[in-house]
Amino acid sequence: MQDNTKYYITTNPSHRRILVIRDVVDVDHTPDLSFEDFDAIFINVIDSVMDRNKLAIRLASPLHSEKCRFKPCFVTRRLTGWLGKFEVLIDGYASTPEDSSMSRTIEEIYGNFHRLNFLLGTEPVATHAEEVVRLCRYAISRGHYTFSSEPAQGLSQGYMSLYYHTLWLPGQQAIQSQEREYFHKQLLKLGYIRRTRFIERMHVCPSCNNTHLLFFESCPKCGSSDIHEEPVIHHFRCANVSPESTYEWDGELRCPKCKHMLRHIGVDYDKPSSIYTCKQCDNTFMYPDMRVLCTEEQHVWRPDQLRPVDVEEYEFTPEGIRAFANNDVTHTLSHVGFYGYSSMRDFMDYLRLHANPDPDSGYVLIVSRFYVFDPAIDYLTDSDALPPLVASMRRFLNYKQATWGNNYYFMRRVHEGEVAKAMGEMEYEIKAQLHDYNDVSPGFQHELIETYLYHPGDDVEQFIKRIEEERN
Amino acid sequence: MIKDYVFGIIDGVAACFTANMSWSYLVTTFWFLIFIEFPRYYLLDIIAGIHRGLTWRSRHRKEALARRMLYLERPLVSILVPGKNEGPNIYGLLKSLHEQTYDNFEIIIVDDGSDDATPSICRDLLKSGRIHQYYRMAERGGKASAANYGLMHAKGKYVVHIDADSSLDRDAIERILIPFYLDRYVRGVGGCIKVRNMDDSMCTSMQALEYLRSIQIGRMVTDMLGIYHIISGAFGAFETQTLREIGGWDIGPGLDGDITQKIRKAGYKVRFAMDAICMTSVPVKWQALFKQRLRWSKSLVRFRIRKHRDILWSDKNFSFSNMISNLDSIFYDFIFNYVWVYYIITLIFAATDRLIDIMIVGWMIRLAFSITSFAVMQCVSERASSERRLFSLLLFHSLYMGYFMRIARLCGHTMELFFRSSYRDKWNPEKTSSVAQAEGL
Repeated sequence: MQDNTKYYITTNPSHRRILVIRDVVDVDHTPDLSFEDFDAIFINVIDSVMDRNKLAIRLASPLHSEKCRFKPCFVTRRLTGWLGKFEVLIDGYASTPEDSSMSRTIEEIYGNFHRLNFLLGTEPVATHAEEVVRLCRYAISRGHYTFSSEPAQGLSQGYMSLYYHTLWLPGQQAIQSQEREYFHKQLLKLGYIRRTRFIERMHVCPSCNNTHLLFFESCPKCGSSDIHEEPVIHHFRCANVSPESTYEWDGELRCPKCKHMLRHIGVDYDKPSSIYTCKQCDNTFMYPDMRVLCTEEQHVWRPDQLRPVDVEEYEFTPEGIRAFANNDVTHTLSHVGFYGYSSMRDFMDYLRLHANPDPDSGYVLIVSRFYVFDPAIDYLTDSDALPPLVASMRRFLNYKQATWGNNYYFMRRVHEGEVAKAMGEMEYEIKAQLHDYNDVSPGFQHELIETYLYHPGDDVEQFIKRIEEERN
Repeated sequence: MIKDYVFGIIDGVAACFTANMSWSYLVTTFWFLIFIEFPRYYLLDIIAGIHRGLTWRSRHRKEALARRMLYLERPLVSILVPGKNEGPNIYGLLKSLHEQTYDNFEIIIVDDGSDDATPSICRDLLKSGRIHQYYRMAERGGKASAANYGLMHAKGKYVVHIDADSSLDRDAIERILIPFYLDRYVRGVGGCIKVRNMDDSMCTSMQALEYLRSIQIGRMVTDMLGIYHIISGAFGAFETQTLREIGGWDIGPGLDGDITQKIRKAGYKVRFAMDAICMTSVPVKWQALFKQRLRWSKSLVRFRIRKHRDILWSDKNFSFSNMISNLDSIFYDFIFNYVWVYYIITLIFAATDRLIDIMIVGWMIRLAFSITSFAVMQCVSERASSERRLFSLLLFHSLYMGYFMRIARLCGHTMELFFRSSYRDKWNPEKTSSVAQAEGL
């Protein structure tokens, strides 16, 4: 029987029920499996396509899957060294579900749960803020109390905090880093974490927080980086000072002014300085300008415009550990600063938070209102964490989202000069996604009703009032 | 007893102008003053003043035309400011530069190994666009090398060399450029230097009077005679191409006089722009002034007598005016100082009993000459009213010029003539001075 099924449940020597997964299984959407059926997971999927192995892990991950939440998760030893950053989603490798080291780790994790009074109860992840909270709870459940930071390859933020890179989404790291900062601030304020160590102060793109910056030395006149540096020679005898190239003569150094040979540095001449020459415009200068190109936005900045960001190490305080273990944080944490889906009240508060009375701040808020009618909402059960429509829109984590009756609101912050482009993008992306959702939910209807623009300096309360009044 | 002594002197002075001192006695007693100083300084001052007054109309017309040509061409001018530890002074200079009526210029600052806040000040100025080029030598190489490095980067048709502790009248740049458009053979123009800190001390006030006398009037005279021989380092303009042709500045001290000689020897003309005014700070204490003048005097021996002696007879571009220009300087600033020593010694021995009477009479004659000269200054100066208050200092002028300056010069000349002490001067770094001495430069 076991050979034909994608998964089965077995018992290990410690009498723990192990869910053994042998192929890609969407655990959350498998009606035959419930949270109470198993204590740990062993993923024994070996596929020549590594992405398939990773998908199997993701769908049964203690972090992402609702039914597997916080449960010990192991992967076949044959995948050792192949998982990369996915390793943080698992608790270890094992050869068989009965592996003694696996049993030992499972007992340690459950011992930890017991010691911390860790609540495993249902906690649907509806908003991005809740997703971050779950991440912290997961870290605590594994006894990781420190948000250590280390340079991370490929991560646009340069440094990552513990486990955070499991949540980084391509193209949305700028927003996520802002959220991380906001999240940390809140936890610090609540006394749930404390700073333990300063690591680095790095400089990031002031617009998108990207650390992938290219630094160019360039000509102050024409901006070209096609510049050449050479030493300057001072000939003591005749006080001539000019670049070394003007002295070069048949492999020797000869003064262009008095034609004497320069033989001995310190006696005949010295090199008191150096000079840059631009090969494009022939400009000569001593201090090249620095230009910084953000690889994300292709925007050029001056170094002094970059935003300094401190990379620090945090650790959970005993109060924080208690609060996260008891799952009290979700209620005390403000969700306003998070993108992604939220309640309409948080959506409005977010507007207030980012509405800038300074007309020169340069950021514009775009709010799009879509009319949606989803017949599937009638079939929503208590076990569904999110309305299916909202779940399908979760890839737009870079938009703040909220629903209000039959209105679906999307919000985005953009630079003043990019409003038209961003509006076009928003409309195209969201409509395409809603159109795709139509395939899942027959009878679904949608239409873009209105786009509101908040310019810096506008009265935000008037703006909110207008959105509220026009919702019907 | 003191009363008798004072009355004795007065009687003696009175006697000098009576039968006790005949005209022939006066001439034989004050021959140095009458035959050497009076014609060269006082008489020529008066003649030059009159000449200037008489030629005012034609000069004005020509200058107006030259000014139009200047603005028609509007050449780029490179303002070159070499110096060490001059950061704090640069603000004042820049303020006056940004007020100029002629505004097509670039400002190049060359930092000759400053060890104070100058580099950061200059970098800030560069960043804010108040200066156009800034170059820094990590090690001090001397003013000539810094100026040459600046010259290498100059993009302008003309280079204006300014000391960082100076500042300019609003129209100074425009006025210093005009002589280039009056005569196409003019390749160097000297500005008129005046004292900015004249109220700081008695010493600076005396220098203010001296600058008026020897720079504004003195150079007006040499310019009129075609023997103008020093473009001040504090404010001078040069045609960039010519400067490059002659190899820029050579090792100092006295590189301003040296470069003027080089331009003259190259066959070009130099002029003095009397109304292009640059104000500079001068030493406040007598000791510092004495040291400065020692250095200047040494450079006369080193450059005019040694380096450019060929100008007198064997220069390939030999010209009579160049020879006279050098001879004027050699005789009046060098030889006649030693003659003056001889004069004083003979006077002491010949008229021991009447020495004080003679000195007082001499002082009175000099005072009379100085008043005449001051009248010429008042006629030609652009800020005559403010300079009028220096009149009272004429009482001490003969002491200052006749004794203090003469002694400083004598010391400087003698030290350089016999001991070549300019090569040990701290004004230049040792590494360049030792090479210059070894090569006899």
